[in-house]
Amino acid sequence: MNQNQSSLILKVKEVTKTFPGTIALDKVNFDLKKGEVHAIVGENGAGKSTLMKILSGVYTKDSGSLYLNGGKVDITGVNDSIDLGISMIYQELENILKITVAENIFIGRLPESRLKGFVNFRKLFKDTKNILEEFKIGINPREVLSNLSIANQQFIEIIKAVTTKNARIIIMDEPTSSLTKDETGKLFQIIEDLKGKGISIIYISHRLDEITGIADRVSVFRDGKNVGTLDKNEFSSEKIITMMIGHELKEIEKEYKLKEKVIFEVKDLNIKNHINDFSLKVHEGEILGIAGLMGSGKDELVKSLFGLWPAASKEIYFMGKRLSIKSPRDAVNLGIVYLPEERKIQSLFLDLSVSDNITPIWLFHIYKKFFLSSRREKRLSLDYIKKLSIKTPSPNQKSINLSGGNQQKVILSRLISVKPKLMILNDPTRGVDIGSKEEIHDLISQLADQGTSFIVLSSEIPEISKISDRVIVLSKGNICGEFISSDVTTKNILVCETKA
Amino acid sequence: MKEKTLYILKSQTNIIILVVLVAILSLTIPNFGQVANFINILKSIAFISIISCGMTLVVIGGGLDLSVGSTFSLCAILSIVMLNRYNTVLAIIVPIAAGIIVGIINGYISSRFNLSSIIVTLGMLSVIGGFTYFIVNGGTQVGVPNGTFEKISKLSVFRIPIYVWVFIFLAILFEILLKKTTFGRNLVLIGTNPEAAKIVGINTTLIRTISFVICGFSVSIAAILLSSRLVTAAPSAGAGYEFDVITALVIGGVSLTGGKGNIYNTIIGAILLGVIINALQLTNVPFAFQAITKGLLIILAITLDTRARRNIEN
Repeated sequence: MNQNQSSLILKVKEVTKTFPGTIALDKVNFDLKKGEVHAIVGENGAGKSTLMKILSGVYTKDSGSLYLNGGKVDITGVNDSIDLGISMIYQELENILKITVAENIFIGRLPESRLKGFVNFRKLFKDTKNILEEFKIGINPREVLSNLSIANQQFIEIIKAVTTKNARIIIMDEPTSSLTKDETGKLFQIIEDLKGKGISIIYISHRLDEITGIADRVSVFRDGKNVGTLDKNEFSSEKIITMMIGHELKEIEKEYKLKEKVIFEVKDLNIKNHINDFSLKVHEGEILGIAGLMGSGKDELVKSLFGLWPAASKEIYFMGKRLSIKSPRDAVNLGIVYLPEERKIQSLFLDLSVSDNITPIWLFHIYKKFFLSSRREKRLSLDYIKKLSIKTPSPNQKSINLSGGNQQKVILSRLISVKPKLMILNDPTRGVDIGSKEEIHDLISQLADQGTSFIVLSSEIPEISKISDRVIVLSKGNICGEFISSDVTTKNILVCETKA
Repeated sequence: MKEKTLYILKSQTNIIILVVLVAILSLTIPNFGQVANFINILKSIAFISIISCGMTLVVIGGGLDLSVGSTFSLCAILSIVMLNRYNTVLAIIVPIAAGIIVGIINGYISSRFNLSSIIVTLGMLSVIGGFTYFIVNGGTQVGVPNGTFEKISKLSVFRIPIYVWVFIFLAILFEILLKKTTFGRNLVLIGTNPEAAKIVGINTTLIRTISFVICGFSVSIAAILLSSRLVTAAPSAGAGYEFDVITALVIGGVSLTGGKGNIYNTIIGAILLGVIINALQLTNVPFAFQAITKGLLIILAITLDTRARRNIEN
């Protein structure tokens, strides 16, 4: 076992990769043992995804060398990487969604029946069933992939990698970002199974508590360098964070008194299959967290508040007046803005400049003229780039070239620029580096002090408990708990959501 | 400095190809390089270009209008019918109204119900085509000159006919609309990311519908000018125009996936198309081969464009 553990399967030696204007990787060293889970953490732009892209053949390195099982290898394309037994499980899944689980796993090597060219479906489904049982996953092989939960789709992707592609090294990039606690547990169980089979895993995540639970070693990346690798007995969240950003995280002491003025009120909200007889009040300057597991209905709830999801019934009062919100436009016109959870899909205009990404709401809400003024747009953008310390060479930079944290600040600038009364934030720091995360939290509490109200959702409970003045916990469409001020703790929320 | 020059060269491929092509053709084909021939080229592309300018807005908003050809036929027919029955004013107003109504239908149906505008306008292509045949019972309409209507297209300034000026005017107007107004910005936002545009609070249905209305309007203007020039209209007058228009856009580098491009791209594309067709005509290449050339051209253009984009992304 000891022998086994210490044998290196992968060694990355002094690998450098530069892009015009930046050194993404600066003589990085990294190694992976057989059957270990090696986590990589680092702020966005630290170089971890660049290294993974080099390993999976998307990028080629400028210099340095790669060794697999002691032998020097060259990876010049995605196929090289797959041939060498390296498989990357992407955040965005690459599965073909409209075919069955079985076909997906066996894609490219479907068993043939006696008639050449025809698929032996009986064997296909039987083999798949065996594989799924081996991994203790209760999925019907005949199920169409798009009907599965994201977690199950991801499990299928992993199984496909180790069976069809014979992967010996699996790279997981933020695998739990859209998984529930149970599903995460299931994933960890699968990871343990893989370890038992001698498969090595490179595990990228922003969630430190997860990493301390699952990883055998952790490497911390900062500014394109591997600043240190810690063994299991050496690491703690605080230590890792310190290595990542160089300073300790500060805690916000909260002492909150509900203000009297109610900004926003919902009564009798019903969303078919998701929310039952829900009502809620948001006070001036309040940060209201809404917590709940996947399937609790919290996503549908906030989408419905913003007019993005149809409600069977809904009574909305804004600043004391009865109103209807049927579309996002109605909401924005009232001074309610929404930050969606999927930054690249739902909020960024990737091909457009930072400035164009900051001004859209401002243009029709405050500026309101027919002819544009590039001078005023530029002034507004520069203003927010400075105010939120967005790292960009200029307002004309395409937003696609910014890091996740800076992209998120661009979106927040867009929302803040119209001085909204209520901001609904759905996972405001997803895929954001720790430094930016802190800044975003500070910004939220600052704005709340100035009177802006917030409804905040997060995939991370510690985030909700850290920033919220009050938290409502949902379970299966019903409110199962409410906490105020000092009772807002991760433990309280967690206990409440899981016991219901 | 060198890098910058290279970048400018790369981003201006189309105009470079155009200049090189014109230079080569001027040297090899007699008569090609004469001023009269260049005016000829402009005349030949004027109608397509007017429609292309409108289409550019639709495409930048993430849509596509396949009904421009049959809308053109409808407007041309309406123009002559109105001329013969009533007067010049109605011969202008009615086709414009028709173009706008078609735009409203195309735009509203596709954006309100979130349908593929390719399919909606493909359907409209057939609906409008059938409607046009129904109005005139399938026959070509021969107009009776009234002394005013047919003179419109004969107007010219600096030897350049009015319809070329209309094209230039609309091109400038639409470019301003696209780059300098909130409408244009919203259209680009919708074309780049429709979901994000909606969440931002943009009235996507209205903005998209307006882009189709502008397209329909451009089509009607082109149709009126052609009717005035020929004083005749066939119910098949605009058949195949959608192809030429889309070819001009693609050659010019307007992205059919939405969000990217401008009127300038479109004009370069239209001129490039005009130059190639003109060269084929001057060298007496049969019509069949002109059609084949156009088809190959659009495939070549989209191949190069897609490859170039992939190179940039990598």
